[in-house]
Amino acid sequence: MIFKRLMLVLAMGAALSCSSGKYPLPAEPEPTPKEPEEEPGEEPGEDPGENPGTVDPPVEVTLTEAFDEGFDTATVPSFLVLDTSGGDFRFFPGFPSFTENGKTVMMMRLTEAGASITTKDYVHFGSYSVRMKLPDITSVQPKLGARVEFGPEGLEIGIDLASPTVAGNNSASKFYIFGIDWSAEKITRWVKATASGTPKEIDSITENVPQKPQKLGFRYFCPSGTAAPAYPYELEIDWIKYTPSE
Amino acid sequence: MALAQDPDTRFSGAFKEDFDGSKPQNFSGGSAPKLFFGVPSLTEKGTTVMLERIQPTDPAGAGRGPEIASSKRTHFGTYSARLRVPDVKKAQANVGAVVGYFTYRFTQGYGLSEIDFEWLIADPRLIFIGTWTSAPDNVGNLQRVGRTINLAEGKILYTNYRSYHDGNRNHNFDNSDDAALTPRTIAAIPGYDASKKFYVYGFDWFPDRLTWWIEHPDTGEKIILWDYQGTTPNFSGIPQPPTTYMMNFWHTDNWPVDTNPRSTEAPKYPYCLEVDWMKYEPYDEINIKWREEHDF
Repeated sequence: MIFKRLMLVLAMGAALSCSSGKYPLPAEPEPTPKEPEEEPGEEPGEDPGENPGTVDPPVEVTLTEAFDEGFDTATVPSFLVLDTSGGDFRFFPGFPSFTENGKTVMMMRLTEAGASITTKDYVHFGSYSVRMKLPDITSVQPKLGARVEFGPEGLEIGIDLASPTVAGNNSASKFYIFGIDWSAEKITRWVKATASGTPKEIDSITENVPQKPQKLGFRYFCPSGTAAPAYPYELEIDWIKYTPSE
Repeated sequence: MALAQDPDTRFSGAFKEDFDGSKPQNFSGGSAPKLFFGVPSLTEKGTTVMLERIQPTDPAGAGRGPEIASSKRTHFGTYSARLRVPDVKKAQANVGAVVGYFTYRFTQGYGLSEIDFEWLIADPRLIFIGTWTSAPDNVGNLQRVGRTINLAEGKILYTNYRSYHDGNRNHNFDNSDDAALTPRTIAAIPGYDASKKFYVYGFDWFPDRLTWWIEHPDTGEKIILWDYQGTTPNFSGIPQPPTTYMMNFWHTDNWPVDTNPRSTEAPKYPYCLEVDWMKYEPYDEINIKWREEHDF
């Protein structure tokens, strides 16, 4: 995997990265602006000339290239990072699916600590999708507040395990494909049953669309203040795909 | 013990099934979504196991959940296994589900041959051990000897028998009957809980003696649970004919654990039993001699 380096101008980001309200962005550390180089003979504090406007200095980020991770082996590729803070027995890559005979998956087990997978580097405009099956906890622990969140930070599709039906599709009954299409003008989130199926739109946003690169994440967790899982319910990820826009 | 290797190909030789591959070498029994072989343990690093996943849709009854059986017959010998039952007390305190580590075979003219280690997962501190035998030609005419132990507390709850001879009424063995009641006390294994870690269980099966044991988790010492050499008014209680070596996990709707009379609910989630290995060490000389004497 070859990672690009991309210089970004973030001046416009200050105006355009505001949360739409539906995609609350995590607090970002403000990039440290570079001090303007002093021209020879220039006294510090002197008027540098005409104000160039509200353009922030560029900040380098590394963007992830397109990927299609099928979790076919026990080794997780280096462009994905499994969180290590929550103890053992939460991630089982290359595990046989409990649902589809012959398939291998990333099996995630729910613990009080939760579990997350993130890209090592950033992602930006493009298409994101995951094929996954949630555990059916509606009989055993119907009030469990656990949820799954997938997508670039701030744009995630979120599904509560206690309410696994999304756009008429019960994500705890079998595998479904969930996707996010992110452009500068629009975010569309969708679900479909098969790779060749027609996506069914979950929602669409055209105002205050985030512009900055983010990290792509998959979280399986119990939000703060909710009950712990009574059993390490198993979630299966068949694959995660990312196709950046041209 | 075994001086001559048993040449009879109907019978299994000695083996230790490690469940390291995608299919077991010595057992058969099914596949996904109930059975998985050669998968990483979900609870112990570095261990490869068989998973048996009970399904919420499994009907109640022995054998109606995930189950494996040896491909060939087994007979007198030492049997042992390392396993961990699922921890479901928080998820479903009243589940009715049985993990069975056992032998079972009915042979017409010889009767039923069944030896059990069982756990009711609603309270995995308790172990249920015993045998089922029968009239030679009617598996419905059953005979039972059994002992129930709370190993965490070091308590033998009861040791009893029943049979079709007198309407399946429970009888305690006479208190003077050392052959049926040894050991009379068992030391607690502090913290014993079959769902909290893997333990090694086993039994040594002779024609006139049947000894159930557990390896102490700290010392490896063989702790005798029941060294049965007894008899009842109508039968010995020790199976005689060959059998099949098995492991299963099934829903019961009428056998609650002694400590929770409500524990008969169908499972609400596909809980996982983990089995690290199963071992069989036949007493070949005894088995060959028995077959000759019984024209088997």
